[in-house]
Amino acid sequence: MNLREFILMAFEGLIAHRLRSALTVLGIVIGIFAVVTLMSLGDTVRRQVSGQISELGSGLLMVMPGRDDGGHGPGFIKMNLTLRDAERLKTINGVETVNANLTIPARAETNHNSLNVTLYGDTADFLQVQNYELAGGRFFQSSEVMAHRRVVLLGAKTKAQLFGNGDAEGHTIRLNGTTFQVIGTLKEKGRTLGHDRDQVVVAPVTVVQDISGFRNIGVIFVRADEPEKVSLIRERILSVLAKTHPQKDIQVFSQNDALKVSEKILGTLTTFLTCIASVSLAVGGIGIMNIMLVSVRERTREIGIRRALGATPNQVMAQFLLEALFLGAIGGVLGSLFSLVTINGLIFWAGWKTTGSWFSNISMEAFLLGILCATGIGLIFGLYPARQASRLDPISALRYE
Amino acid sequence: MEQPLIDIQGVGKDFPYGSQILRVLQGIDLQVRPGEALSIMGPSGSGKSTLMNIIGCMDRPSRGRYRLADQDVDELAERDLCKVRNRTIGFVFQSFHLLPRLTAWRNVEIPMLYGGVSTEDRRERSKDLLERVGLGHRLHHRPNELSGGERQRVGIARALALEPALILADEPTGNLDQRTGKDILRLFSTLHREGKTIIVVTHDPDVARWADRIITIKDGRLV
Repeated sequence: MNLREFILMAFEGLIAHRLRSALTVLGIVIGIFAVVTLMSLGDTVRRQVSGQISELGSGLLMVMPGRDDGGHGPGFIKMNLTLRDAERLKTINGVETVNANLTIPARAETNHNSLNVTLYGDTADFLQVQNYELAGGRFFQSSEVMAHRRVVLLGAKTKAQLFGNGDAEGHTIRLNGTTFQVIGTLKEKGRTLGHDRDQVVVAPVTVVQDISGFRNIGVIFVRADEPEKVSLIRERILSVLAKTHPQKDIQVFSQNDALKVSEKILGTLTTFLTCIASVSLAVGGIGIMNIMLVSVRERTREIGIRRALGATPNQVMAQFLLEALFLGAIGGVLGSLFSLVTINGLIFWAGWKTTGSWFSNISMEAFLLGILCATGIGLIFGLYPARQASRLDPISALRYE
Repeated sequence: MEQPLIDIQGVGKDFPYGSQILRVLQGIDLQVRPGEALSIMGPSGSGKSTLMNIIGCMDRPSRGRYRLADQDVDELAERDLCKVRNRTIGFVFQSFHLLPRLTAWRNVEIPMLYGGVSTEDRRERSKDLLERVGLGHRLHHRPNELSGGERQRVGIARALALEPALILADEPTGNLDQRTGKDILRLFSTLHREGKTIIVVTHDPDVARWADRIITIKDGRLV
């Protein structure tokens, strides 16, 4: 008896109980879908984030509140950087630009429309550091930052929502009730991790301090004139700020650090979620075992007949093992395909840039691993029932009602 | 003298029954020549089913020697017993024991499946056999679409699949009305004339009379 005949026989067995087989397969489909989707999604998000961080350029350093030993102790992190700190950093040799940033949520209104936006308070080099481009108008200058000038630039979506197709420059908008003059608009940027980078407004950091009531700023971006100098400049930043921050309550991140941290966080998160999803896979496996045990019991007489007609225990075992294996494999293929469709749908919906092909978005490892894993689960959870079947005594199996 | 097909000497079979041992068969001696038609008769509980299971290599004797077709069955491993059931014995059952989801054609193929007959030969032979038992027009019917007599004919075709030396029938007419039962016995007679060795196990004297030789078993002993 060759493999092909065993396979046919196993399929006959599965088709004879279509509904039951379908429901069992569904258990595996859900498990594999969850695992493959989460693994691939984690992969995609990680690539997106890494891409965006890399976009910032390798010469970039971020000065943030916190402890500089890299530890993340419990409790709140207080905003403790000031504009004066930012000014000081400009004096460091080898620093090209220094940006002070204070970001808050805000309500943007015209007389006709209103919109919730992210309000970036920043300084004159904002475009360069954040990789935005002007669509029209001009950016504000350092002198305007110093003078607390109430001027703003609108992100692509903000502009479209508030002014439609008309011109925005020269008009005024209100941000949390304060009137600003629009001096420019930004080109479209896309979404990052669900954060819409076009539904934004950019204003001088000083003015954002005024309207928010914050006296400090959130983060300072420092760009080195040469990427190789990053670690040197990091040391200089720390020593300059040591005067105003003797408790060392600040930290300096380079783009590399940020890349490492985000990889670590997302990696851990993906692993964690995948582990949770694996539970559903185990449940699916137990479903296979359960249904195979029922099937063996129900087909006791069939087993007896086959044994009387000359089937060896191994042949009986192979028949049931293959049925379980197919349940798993079919579930694995369906779950992986379903996952492929879902991930591409999500990526399309989120508007992420992709390399094009459908399969490039799903982690190929996860896809193949999913199918392989499901087949393995079918095999493992089918082993016990198949063994039970093979061990039945032919005489009592024949008499079984 | 011609070698007997079945040579049973001093066979006994015990079953544990609670803390005791039940002696179901004792001191059975039986020889069956090739080509013989034999009936084993006995009331229920007499041990005839146990004897049939031993003859059919479904069970092993507790004592004694059993040779079937020049093989010492007692010495065979489980794997080889499966082969003997497959090749040397053709079973016919009281309740037919056909696989309900398979057509008559596929049912007859089963022993050949385990006997390693190629797909094409299997198809061909299965069809021939069904035609031989008069069911050439019922190839694609499932058991529940067949009458009792037709089902038993499928069962007999299946028993003949690998040209076994011995046909072993357990109450083959037990689930059939009298007329159909007679038809089945006539089919056995035809097979017998063609040279098959046939053993029919029954409690019904009318059925037993069909054979050349009748042996009776009572309380685990031949009388």
